[in-house]
Amino acid sequence: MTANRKDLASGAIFIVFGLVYGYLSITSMPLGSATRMGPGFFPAVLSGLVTLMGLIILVRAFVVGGDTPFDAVPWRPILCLSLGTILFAAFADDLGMLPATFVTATIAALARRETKLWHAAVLGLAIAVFCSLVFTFGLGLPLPIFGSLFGY
Amino acid sequence: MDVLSNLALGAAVSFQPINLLYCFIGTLLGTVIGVLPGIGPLATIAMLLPITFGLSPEGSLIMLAGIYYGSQYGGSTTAILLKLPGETSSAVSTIDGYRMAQKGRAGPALAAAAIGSFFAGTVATLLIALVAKPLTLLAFNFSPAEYFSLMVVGLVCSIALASGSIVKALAMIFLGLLLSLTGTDIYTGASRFTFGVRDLYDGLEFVAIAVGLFGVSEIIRNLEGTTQIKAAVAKVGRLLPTKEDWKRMVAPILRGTAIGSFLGVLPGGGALLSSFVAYTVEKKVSRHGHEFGDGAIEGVAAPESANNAGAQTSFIPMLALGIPSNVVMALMIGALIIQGVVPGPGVIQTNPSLFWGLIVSMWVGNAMLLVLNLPLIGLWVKLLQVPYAILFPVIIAFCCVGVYSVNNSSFAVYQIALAGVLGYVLLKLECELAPFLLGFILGPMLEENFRRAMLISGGDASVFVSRPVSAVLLAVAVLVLVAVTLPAIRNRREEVFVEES
Repeated sequence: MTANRKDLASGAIFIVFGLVYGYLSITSMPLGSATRMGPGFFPAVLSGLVTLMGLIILVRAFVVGGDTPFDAVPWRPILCLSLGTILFAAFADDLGMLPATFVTATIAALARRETKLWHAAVLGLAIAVFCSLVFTFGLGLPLPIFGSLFGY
Repeated sequence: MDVLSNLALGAAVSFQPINLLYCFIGTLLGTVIGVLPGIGPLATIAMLLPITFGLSPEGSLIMLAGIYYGSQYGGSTTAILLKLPGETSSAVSTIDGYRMAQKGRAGPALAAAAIGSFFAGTVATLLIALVAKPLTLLAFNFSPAEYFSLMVVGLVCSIALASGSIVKALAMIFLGLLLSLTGTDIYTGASRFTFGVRDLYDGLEFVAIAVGLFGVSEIIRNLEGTTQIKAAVAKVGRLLPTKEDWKRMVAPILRGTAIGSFLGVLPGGGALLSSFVAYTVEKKVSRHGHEFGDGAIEGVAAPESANNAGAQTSFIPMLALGIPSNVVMALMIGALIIQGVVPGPGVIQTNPSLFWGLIVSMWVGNAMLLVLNLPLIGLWVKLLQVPYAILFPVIIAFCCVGVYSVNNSSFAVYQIALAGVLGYVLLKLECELAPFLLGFILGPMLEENFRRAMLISGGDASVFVSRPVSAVLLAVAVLVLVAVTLPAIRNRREEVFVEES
């Protein structure tokens, strides 16, 4: 019988989180006493529980088995959507609402394989104009339509 | 009558023209966005949150509540016409609703959902008005130990709702709790898990995490294949139910309302649990039980009434105790805090017009939904045909702008990307995200009350079982935990979720 890879992977993720956060809570924060708990106490307990659950999942992966194959990783949507969002975070203040939403929406639109570049750009422009009108102009969101980069 | 005078105060607030307008805009926008396939109430509220920032506290909460039921109702429309539940709580309505639509009876199905929802909403509003005040009085006697135990019950209940492995659900809860502690410790000022990043001193941004986990990861999943999501929208046809339909609707609506009102109050419960239970019960007790799955109107009326009643009564723990029972309520609490109102049992005393205004406007919102939805059904059908290729870039842009506007800081926007990828990975590994998010919401409150309880008791952990209310709550939590691990119930639970998918 083969181990269940999904259980193996999720168990490992939980264990890594538990160990890293547990290490941080114990080494860098005082645990305190039962009466006056330090900042490290609650996180240390939770880290222990996360690790424990991870271990149980890991053991079960071998005991229960029932392997299920991974699907192919959809790199394109993952990359496009993350990149679009990150670029907004990085440049919204400098670029302003219109250029930032244009870049974000255009790149996000490319997450779908069938979408052509110019389609994405037109859609991005439409979304950018809409967002600028509704959020900056209409609702008075303090994100100018053009940012400091354009000398505003 | 105390309740009557309170409701009169509420009516005075919610019938102010400006608040009626906010309620109307809220329900309209909520429906418009909720109808779009693949967008649930959570994403809708997160996207529209910035719109409410400039309003008065009353206005903003009334509008948000309107958005909430609007999106809830919009989701049902999508479920019936497209077999695509916009949100999990209308998943069961797809079973019989879509069958009815295929048989050319989409109209009566939509009408049953609308009428059932309206009736359930009315009853639930009255219920909130009746129990809210006694509950807040009870809440004033709650010590930190009780609050802690109550939250534990809520977290355990969220496992019962998760499909799949219980160990994984538990792990997700603990992980959510753990990550929620990022930032400055309120007691000592020590910074925790900030990795030296100054922006993290205020903790992770809840709205960003929620949007990433539930919005972005869902979009990635929808874009996995090359499969075009081409909407095959059913024809609506004649709207009004026949005489026979009316007769068959009454009992399911009543039962659904009762089930939903009760289950909605439970922490971690709300609309989802309500609609599942109502459907299962109705299938058992209905004389037309054999028609279920093949377009029985009861199979739409009961869960739709139940999820609306549940959506409404889930406001009770939030209003009375300041504890969000689900993710949507957590966003509401976030909105309240932005408005400078501290949620909790004090609100009813310090801010009665907000409290009662919100309650009455819930009913107004439901009435508006009824008036709005049936005549405008043609418009909703058009919206359903918006291709996904256009939809998801709009969602991403709105999410970025929405999250940016929470603190006017772009740092939170980075967290969307991180949460989106993490959410997708966990989703693919069959780990449920809802327990994680509930843990993430309750984490800081859970720790605060735990530490305070221990401080008061002088380090004696038995305080959690020596106080009767706390002991009962913990016993309930243990019972639920034991119950979900019992094989018999576990199989039943899986059955319910198999029907969903």
